[in-house]
Amino acid sequence: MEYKDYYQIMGVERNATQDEIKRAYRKLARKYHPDISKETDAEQHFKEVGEANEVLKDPEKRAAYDQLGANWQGGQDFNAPPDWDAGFEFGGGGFTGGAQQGYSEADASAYSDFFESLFGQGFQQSGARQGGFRQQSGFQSGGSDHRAKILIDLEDAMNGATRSISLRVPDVDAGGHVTTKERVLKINIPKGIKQGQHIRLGGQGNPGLGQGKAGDLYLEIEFNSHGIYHVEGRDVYLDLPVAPWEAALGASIKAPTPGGVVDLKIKPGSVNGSKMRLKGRGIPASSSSNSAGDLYVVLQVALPPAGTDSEKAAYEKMQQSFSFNPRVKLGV
Amino acid sequence: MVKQTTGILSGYILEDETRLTLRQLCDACAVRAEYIIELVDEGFIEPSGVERSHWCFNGISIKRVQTAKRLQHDLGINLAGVALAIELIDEIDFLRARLDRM
Repeated sequence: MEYKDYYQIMGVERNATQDEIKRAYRKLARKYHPDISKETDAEQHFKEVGEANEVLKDPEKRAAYDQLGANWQGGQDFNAPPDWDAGFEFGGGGFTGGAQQGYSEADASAYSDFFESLFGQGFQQSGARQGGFRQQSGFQSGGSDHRAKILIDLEDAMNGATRSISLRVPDVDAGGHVTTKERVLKINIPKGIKQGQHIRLGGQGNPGLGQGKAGDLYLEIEFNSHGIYHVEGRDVYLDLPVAPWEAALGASIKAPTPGGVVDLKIKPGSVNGSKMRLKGRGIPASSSSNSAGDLYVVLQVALPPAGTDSEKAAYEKMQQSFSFNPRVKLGV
Repeated sequence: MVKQTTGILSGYILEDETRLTLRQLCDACAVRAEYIIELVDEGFIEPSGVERSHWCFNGISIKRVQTAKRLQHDLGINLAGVALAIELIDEIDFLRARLDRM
């Protein structure tokens, strides 16, 4: 297992005061809080910082950790020396907190093996003294909710889809030992779902203890970026390139839509940026309380290159025929 | 690690689940009614209905209450601070989405 340098994670010196540690933790917690941070590995960072704080904020645990010595490097292969914690007593056991209030009161599974090997024992022993969590009569606690992000494609929202996701959940056995289980869930992605919406699966969160009921599972929907379309709510936008003569003279052209290719009439005199609305051709409604989105086609006039002699001649002809100053608004 | 596979699960779209009573919102978020009332007073979640017994919350209130609870607990900020932080986060999200389209 890897040695964790909690001081390095917190960005403080080994001789930092408890106040300095508290301040460092507050700063890092704000930076990496999963509800605030947009960094992709924010949750991982936040858990690491939370684990470091769990040890360093508690003078007992900090002293025990310190006596491993200062010569260890983060990431180095580590095994806890036998009786390393002789003379220390961890009152509350390795884990603090019961029902989960926030990300900082992490599930047992959130702590690293390194933490487990040093401070996990206290937890298991105190559990055993009480006869184990599950066997103790009358003790129960509801399971915490579980949150996860799920990436889908525009097509999944158009048609509905099934996705498999894998969740790591803590499991406490009859002896009070905590292990991590992987649960694979197959989930229906309802047709009509939008970016940023959440699917709530009642009772699919972390299991409760005793008779306590399981928490809920919340899945946040995020769309993979699409090469052709971009999505705003249920409306879908398509930038459609057209030739100058198609825009100027009008034309009947083919355009892709998420529902398949359609024939599109371009009105004569269209300009760059002209917007056409295809009603109801965006993401469909998800329930009777909302309506289908629209597809907006935004014309992008593309300039044909003047490569051959006859193409150049055509541009020269245009130059003679038009009295067109594209910079008239600039006053030159 | 044990793998566990189940059948296909269907949930609700939280934002479409429109009607929640005060009691149901408390249950879903594992908080006391007083906490929800404070958040309503702060203007952070807005129920329809005037009297408390007729309050009706939309589904996204669950998400907002849970976020408030986590931020308050993890970062030690008060409710007014939580409300401000989340409004700013929403605005940043909106601006980022606009930036992505440019």
